[in-house]
Amino acid sequence: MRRIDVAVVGAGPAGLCAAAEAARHGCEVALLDENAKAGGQLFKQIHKFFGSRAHHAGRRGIDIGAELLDEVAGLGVHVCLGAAVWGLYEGKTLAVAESDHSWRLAAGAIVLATGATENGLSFPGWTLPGVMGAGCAQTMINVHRVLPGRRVLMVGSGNVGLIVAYQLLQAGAEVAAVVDVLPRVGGYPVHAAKIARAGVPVLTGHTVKAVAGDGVAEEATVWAVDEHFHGVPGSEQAFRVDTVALAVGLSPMAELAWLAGCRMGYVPELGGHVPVHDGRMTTSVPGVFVAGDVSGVEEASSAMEEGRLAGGWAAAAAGKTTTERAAEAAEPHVAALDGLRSGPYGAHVRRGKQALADGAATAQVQVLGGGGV
Amino acid sequence: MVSWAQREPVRPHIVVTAVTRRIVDHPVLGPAPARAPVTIFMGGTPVAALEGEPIAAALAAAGVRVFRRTSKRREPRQIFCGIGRCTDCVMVVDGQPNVRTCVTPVREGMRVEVQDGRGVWERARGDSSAPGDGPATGSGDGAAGVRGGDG
Repeated sequence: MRRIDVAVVGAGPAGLCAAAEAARHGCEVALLDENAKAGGQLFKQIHKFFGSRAHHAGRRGIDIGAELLDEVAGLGVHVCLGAAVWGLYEGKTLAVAESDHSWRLAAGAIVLATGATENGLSFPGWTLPGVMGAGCAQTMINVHRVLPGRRVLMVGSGNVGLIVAYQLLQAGAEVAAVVDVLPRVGGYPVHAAKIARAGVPVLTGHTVKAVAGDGVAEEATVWAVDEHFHGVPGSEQAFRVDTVALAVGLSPMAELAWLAGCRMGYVPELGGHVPVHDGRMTTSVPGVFVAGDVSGVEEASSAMEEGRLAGGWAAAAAGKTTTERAAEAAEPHVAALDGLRSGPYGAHVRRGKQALADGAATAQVQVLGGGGV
Repeated sequence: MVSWAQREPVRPHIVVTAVTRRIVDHPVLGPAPARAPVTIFMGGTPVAALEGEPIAAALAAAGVRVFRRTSKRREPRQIFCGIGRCTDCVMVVDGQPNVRTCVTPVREGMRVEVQDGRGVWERARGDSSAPGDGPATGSGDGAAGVRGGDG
């Protein structure tokens, strides 16, 4: 069994920042990711980030990703790629599978930064080839540089739907329309404006009725919804498309937190079941921290700040720094998170995080589990 | 219902080759980096791939839209998440079923087949004791034995 001060699971924006921060506090850090490359989903983010006080504003995810990889390499973090963490046992021991063997790693503290996975949306034909997550289409065009289809219907007008619709245009695809079941566009006006300028119709108050085709997606039918979100017969519109991209939210990938026995809460604002955690990103299990989308679905900019917080506090839990130093290092990141979550677009996250902090006392949060490693 | 005013689309400069779905030039990312060509075989038919890309990208570029058929209703599937989470894109690769093609890089001469249901393991050549030998178990542990045997 190998031993390490801090083990970080997931090398996306949150995990990279957590690993870097723990290493800065003098920890020997292992950063584990099952993928062949580190960076998580940063390398498909080719748009400029923004946010009034966020220090990554104006920069593209791909550039931030490259910088973070340099940072962890410079700090001597052990980056283990192709390494899937499949178990979390007593004594903060991780079970790690590589292609041909499995090994165990005992850590002084663990940061779970496993991210989130795209939600599906069920309608007749949703399993047909050509119906895929918007993030999947984004990976195909921006990372692999292959068009998954030529003509796309985007479902969901949150930031993911709007940004990926625009990036599909940049990649040379046609976007037939963006539909959203809600009565107004969900994402930032700046992204919606880009779509509008490109002449893509945005149908709010609409959803997909069905996708049909001869073994593959060929036609998507959308219809208007009434105030109960039921389809309105007679309002159908058909679009000839070979791809239907679903941008209908993400769910935290909290399996390892469940395994660890972390108390879990169901918070719709944060994407579903998330580990109950405090402002230090501490879960109910001592020495197990969370950061990024696994602790509540947000954006890469906030994931990076949470990663810094979790990494610093994990270093303290591993005994490599003092509580005072960790608190001092945490200050700018707490402030940055407050900034990122300010304003109307951060309201749901603020509400969700507060609900978690209030724990079982809040009726909104259904607390499950409660064991512990 | 709110509809945005329809106008003449403003499109960034784009070059997509006529024969494939590859994005050759890109307004933000620039020209595609040069990568060595690799040939894989889909049901025996050669498919042009690029070194380092996942199988799913090579097949999508070639216009392949059915990667597998489901066990019970034989429904077609292709890709859904594209990042190794959902297993919708699994195929039989070099005799090994349930390979996630969206995260498995191509290799020269690789044999890729549409997976029927849960797939059937191909007997590992010259090594009857290989851990992957025998019926599908749903476990990935046998992968190295079969793939290793194929070189």
